[in-house]
Amino acid sequence: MTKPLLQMAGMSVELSAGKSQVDIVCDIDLELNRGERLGIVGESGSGKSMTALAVMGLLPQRMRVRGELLFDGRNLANLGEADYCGYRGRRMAMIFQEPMTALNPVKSIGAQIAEGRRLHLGETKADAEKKARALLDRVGLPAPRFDLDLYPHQLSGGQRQRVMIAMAIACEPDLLIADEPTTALDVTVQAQILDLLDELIEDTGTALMLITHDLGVVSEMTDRIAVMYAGRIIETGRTDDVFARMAHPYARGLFAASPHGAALAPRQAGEGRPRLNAIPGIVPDPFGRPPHCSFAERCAFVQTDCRHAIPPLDLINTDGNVPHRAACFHPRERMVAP
Amino acid sequence: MISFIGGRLVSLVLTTLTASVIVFLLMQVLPGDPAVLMLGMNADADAIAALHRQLGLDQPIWIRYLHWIGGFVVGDFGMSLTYSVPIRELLGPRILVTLPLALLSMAISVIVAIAIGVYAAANRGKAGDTVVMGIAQVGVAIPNFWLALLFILLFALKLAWFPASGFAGWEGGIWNGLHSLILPAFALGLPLAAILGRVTRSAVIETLGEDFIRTARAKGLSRSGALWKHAVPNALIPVVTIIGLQFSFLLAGTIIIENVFNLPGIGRLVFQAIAQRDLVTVQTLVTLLAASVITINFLIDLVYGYLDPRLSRGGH
Repeated sequence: MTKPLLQMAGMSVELSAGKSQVDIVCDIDLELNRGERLGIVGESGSGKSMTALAVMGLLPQRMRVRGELLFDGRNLANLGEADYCGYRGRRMAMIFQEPMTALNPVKSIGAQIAEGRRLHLGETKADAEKKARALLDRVGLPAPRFDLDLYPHQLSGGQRQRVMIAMAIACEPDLLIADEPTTALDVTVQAQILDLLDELIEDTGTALMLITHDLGVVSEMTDRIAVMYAGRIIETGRTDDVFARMAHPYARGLFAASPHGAALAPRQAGEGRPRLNAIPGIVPDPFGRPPHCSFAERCAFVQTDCRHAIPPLDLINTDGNVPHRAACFHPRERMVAP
Repeated sequence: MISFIGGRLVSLVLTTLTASVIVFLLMQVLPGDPAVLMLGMNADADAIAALHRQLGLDQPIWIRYLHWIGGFVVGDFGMSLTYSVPIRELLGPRILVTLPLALLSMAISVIVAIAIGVYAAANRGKAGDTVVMGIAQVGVAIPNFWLALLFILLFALKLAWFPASGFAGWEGGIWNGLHSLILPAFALGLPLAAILGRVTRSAVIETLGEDFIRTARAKGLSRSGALWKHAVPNALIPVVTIIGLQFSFLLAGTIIIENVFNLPGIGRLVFQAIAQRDLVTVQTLVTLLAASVITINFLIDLVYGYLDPRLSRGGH
């Protein structure tokens, strides 16, 4: 088997606050092959966005990566800034959550799309703009309605996100990271943007890392999934397998708490409208994570050993060539879906 | 864009007219009769009345205003009461001192401010930021005339690089004139640069925190690439606002600095005209200064439209 495109082994993201240090993201083991689609799911503060920013080398100040973060065989964790700039936008690209603020308001969209090609491929202004025109057509913003010299404020949220996508795919990167690409958009626009992403990934063979809290989106878009909680991966495997079993109680809770999951659950007699099941309690903040399973306080199935140690990410099913792992001492056995 | 400029032009004209009315009325309520001043305290009443008629001071106030502003529009500003020459002739050579001085000071202020502001923002919290902003803090507190005196002591008297006072004139070539303006321009521009530099620093720091900077970095731009290509163009919008406001301080500053350096400019003429109660000259000069501040702010509005497409280009 060929080497994975992206490989994290025991990767942590460390935050220094004064003299103390805390791991925002701990001990991530994750692989992503060329052309593969990986979903990272979790609620706010679970560390999914920080994992993505760690890959891009764009962590906020005072945060740094520990452990292994291999991209195409090269450890990015100790890569110099100048070399990293050669990767960003060229080998790996990122689409951000907020299309309203992620584009520069005083530069034309054409210049912003062409910028990457001029920087990485040394194209002339004319060549890069020709390519930018083609990219705009490709993401569904055809001429003459969508000229290169439009400015972001002249576009809607969905259109801006299309521009972001055009910028991201401009240099045909090997890895595309999409951090909640549709969260800020209207539902109808969300579907269009996802379809566009799906189509582009299909055509280009780019590997996708899709970060979202929307379980409906991951189930449709990804091959594999990693569920994160309090900075750790707590369940990972083939998307279908994870959705079928939801071995970790948190994954199960997340599913029950989403409209997508609730819609699938059978209606109870006497109840007119299925209620969403909220997970009780709150995510422990990074400075107060317990020395045992961090979900123990909120878990309905908690037992005494859950409060003694941090459960390792163990193999729970060896069927198939993609292992299904969960970090739980008492993984659920019963399938939630066929 | 056309309607944007048109709207600003209308407001330019109206503001200037309003300013001229206020200046004219202020001159009317000032104590001191120009005729008495010209003829001396012992002049007899008939002579004063005759001079009033000659100067048009016997006419109602609104006629005098219209007469004055009508001439103003076509460039006929009237006669100076003390020099007895047309004010236009007084202005010509003096504008050639004050305008280059003002532009040079402004250029110094803007260039120094952007350099120190961007440098401090890029090195926020580090030693370089602290040192540069510390110096700027001192600069904010230093009055320009005191800085001027220090410059004269050091660069004119001790090092003898520049003349201590006076203006050599443009007849001997550009350098000849410029040479006498360099010290005054720095004395005038540097304290303004200190304020503007602080504004630039905070504007750049604010834009550096914006999402689109992260987008630019994700595209592969280096820290300095994202700074100069994405942060600075956005940060210039508030900076330009302050430049417009500073221009009026700069004109007020020329009155002081031209006196310190003994430069034959507009500022010195204003000072002398006030001292000699040459009211027609004062009201003309003050209105001209007001008009130039208004014009600069009109130009600033145009620069806005260029810097910020959200103002000049409507949404769909």
